[in-house]
Amino acid sequence: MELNERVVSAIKEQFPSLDIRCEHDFRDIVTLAGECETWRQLIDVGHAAAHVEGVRNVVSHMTVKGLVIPKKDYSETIRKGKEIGVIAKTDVLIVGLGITGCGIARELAKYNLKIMAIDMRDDVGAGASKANNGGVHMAGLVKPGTLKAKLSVRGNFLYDKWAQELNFTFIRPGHLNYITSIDHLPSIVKIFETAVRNHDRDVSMLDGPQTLKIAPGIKEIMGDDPVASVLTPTQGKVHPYEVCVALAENAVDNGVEILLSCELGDVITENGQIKGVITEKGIIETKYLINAAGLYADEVSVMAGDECFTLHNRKGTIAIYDKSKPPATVQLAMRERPELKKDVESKGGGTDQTPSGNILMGPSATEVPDKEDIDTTEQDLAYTLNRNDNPTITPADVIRIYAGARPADLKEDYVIGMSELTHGLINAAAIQSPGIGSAPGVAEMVEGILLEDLEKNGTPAKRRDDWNPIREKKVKFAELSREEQAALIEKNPAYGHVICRCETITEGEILDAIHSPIVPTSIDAIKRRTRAGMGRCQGGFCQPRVLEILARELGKEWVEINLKGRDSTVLKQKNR
Amino acid sequence: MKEIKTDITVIGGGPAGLAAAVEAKKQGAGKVLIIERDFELGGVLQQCIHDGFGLHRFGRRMSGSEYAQIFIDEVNELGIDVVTDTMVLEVTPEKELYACNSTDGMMHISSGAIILAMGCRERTAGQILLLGGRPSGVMTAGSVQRYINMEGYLPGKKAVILGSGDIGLIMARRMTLEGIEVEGVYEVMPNPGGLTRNIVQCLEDFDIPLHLSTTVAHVHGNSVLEGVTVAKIDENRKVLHETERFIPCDLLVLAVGLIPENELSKGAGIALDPKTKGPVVDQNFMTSVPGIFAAGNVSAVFDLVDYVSMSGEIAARGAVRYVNGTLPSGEGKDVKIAGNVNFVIPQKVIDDPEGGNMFFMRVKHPDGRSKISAAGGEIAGKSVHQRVAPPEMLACEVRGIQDAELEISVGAVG
Repeated sequence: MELNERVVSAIKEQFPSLDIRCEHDFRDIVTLAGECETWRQLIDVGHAAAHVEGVRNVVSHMTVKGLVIPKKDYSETIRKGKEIGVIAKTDVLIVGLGITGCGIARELAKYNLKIMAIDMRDDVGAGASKANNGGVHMAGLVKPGTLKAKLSVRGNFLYDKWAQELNFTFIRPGHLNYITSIDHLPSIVKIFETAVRNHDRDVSMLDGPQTLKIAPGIKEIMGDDPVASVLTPTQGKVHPYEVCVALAENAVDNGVEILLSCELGDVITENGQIKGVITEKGIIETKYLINAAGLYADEVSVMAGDECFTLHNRKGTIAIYDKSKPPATVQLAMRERPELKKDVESKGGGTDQTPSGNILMGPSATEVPDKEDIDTTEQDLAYTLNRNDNPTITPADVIRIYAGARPADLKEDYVIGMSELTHGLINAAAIQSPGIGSAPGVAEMVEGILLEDLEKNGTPAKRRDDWNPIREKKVKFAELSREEQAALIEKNPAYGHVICRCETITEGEILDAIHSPIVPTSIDAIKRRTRAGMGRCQGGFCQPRVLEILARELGKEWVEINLKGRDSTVLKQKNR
Repeated sequence: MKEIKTDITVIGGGPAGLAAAVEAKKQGAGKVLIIERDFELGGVLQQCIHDGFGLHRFGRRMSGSEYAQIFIDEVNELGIDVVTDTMVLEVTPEKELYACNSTDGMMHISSGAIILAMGCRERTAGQILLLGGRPSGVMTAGSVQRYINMEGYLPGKKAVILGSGDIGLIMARRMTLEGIEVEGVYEVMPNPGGLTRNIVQCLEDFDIPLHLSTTVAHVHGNSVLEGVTVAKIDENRKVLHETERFIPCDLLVLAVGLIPENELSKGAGIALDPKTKGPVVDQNFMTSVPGIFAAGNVSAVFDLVDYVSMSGEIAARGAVRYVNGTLPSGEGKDVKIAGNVNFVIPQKVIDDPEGGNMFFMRVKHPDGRSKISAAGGEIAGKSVHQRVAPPEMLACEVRGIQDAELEISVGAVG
């Protein structure tokens, strides 16, 4: 049977009432059309097609009855860009500066190439990356044989080097999944086997007493009696936004040129070759376009003449708890709750802890039609709060709730490679969970693809002699001893002026952030770099001070300072 | 590192800290030091330019800054040491303290006694699990007050206020006077959260509607606030979706409660009361750590500044006696509560006939004419109130407590 027919019959079997049409191209990428009842059903139909043997990926042209699927209008961006005309010529243009784009920019900076990178937001890592839970994933949760599995295992391995060179916070607290009923044994055996198949050499199975020896809090605090567990020491944690900033700063230090608040409107191609892009800041001519545009990567690929996947926003809601709670012993342990794992594609998170010590619950996983939808809802929040098993923490300890968007394709695997239709287009797309942990692996793979193509075209890239892999360590006042703090203030009094009292962040640290290779211009950008405003009062006390410093240092008026993104000024006008 | 020795160190230069420092000096304390994190003394009073302060204490109505200035003048006259723009980083159970600023650098301060007067902070959007987007234009009432009154900026043109606590009510009036349209005040509870006089003077006088049992169900906007959906809630606080209504606005003001600031207290190992969220104190406002006292909103959120000052003075008298070695020691006994009493501070009483004798309490629910009674002591002064409600703190003086046995109750009287 033809691939088309097999896909149609697979869909018919699961969704007999639907009339879905299917086409496929020479790459076995199938395109679906037809009307579904709900958005969730559209995603399910896409997944059903992706599961058919031989299907490489799925493009959706499907619609939903009574639903207008929001679509971005690029016409104004194109108009602006054309009006300005050509502003730059480059060898490589990276579109999107989330963790994927930042990682690629940093790694490619090693070579004697002119590299530019753009992002539509006002800061790096300000899209999906900033809302990620920061897990550098263990190997036990990713499907063996997928690109996701390969790159997350590789990424996890490479993280120590990244952290060492780029001086961001990286910890490996490990992870312990335990069960309290032997009936649940299959769920942890599956994690163990998956980890082994993904070449994790450190994973081990423990019995009840061994489990309690490592994590006595399971009994003391959670009141659980573990019968067995799987211990994965490689599970790590980072602050995702800190990693993005560190990578991007190092890239800029090595000559990469970054343009922020620069939306892409269209891609210029000629005879199947990338020629340039039209952005709101003008036209940039380029030989290579690396598409790391997060949730919009499918649209960028279409603009470049290669429609080969469709992305959907799988929204995740996270709750952050006050640092004072609870004791750390339980934090690496999570009880397996097989009853919550009904939906295998929509993997959600559980109890976690950030490297700063805040408990983090979630994320949830909900399919939504709008790529810009990062609203928290009653239902998602209930899911997230319900992941808590620890009786010593309650919703009253929550200091912040937020949601982020996972850029998932219908195959539920990463899409990385040189386009077969448009030479010069390298997709680094559909990087969803565990995208933070995979980032070094993704960057390495993209680096390899680019080098190979340059080689093939007779213009091999040369390594620069002056490449500096090191990004200097930033001062983190709160983490220093009193003596170190005293010495620091003596050297620079700005470190004696505490601005954010919840997190003990000083004016010196805020000034360091402002006078850095990528200038943060909003209150939230300062928050992501310094943690000022991330504590329990959520900027109640420090926001006016941060705003004042930003305005002073950037030479702006107070009413020009944004909270986050365009036009989001905190203050609207002077009143006297 | 700069080494400093004091008799009494007061953390916080707001109303509680100012009153405590002044009283300590008047009681003969040697070196008294106030550490203030802001650039000037006065605390939140400096942004309270409305009147109504000091009615109980001075018998006249003043603005917050006027009220503060009376104490600041005394601090200056009495030669009390002050460091501003200074952050206390840590307090140890041994009463050692670390603080820093830009001019003195890191300071290590050893004190005979410490008075905690850090005040309180506002509950935030995150803490009340506010749903929807997280755009600019959502801020606490205190922040709005600071921006308007201290910095001279308006954060919006059309506002919705969630929560009817006093700061929210005050800001409803203040914003109206500054030309911001206040669409309404929405309160989750079936009763207002603020004082009656504020409901009358700040809402009714300006025709601002108060919607009870109503909440903000959804915040609209990703980076810029576009509006809010408000809805009625049932008795289990579930949103009644059929009552949802969209209100376009560019400012959502949160006046959803205050929490005592006790991070330093926790670090010092001080026992906290889960109900007040402040330290458990005895009648001298001494905490579970001997020599560390708590005053004002750090011990429990007060409604009137007059009581805040009073608690600071009681704590100061205790602290001076502690430094002089004349304060009796002892675990103390819990003050029992009965009837309509939700909580009382002080929570403990030690056998100390010369100690403080003021007790502050909040009731569980609104009631008509009610009487405060004390078993194990006698109430001095006013004990009958025409009406009682949770937002209004009740204060009473109890004399002649025997063997630290005391029960305080509030009940309706005919």
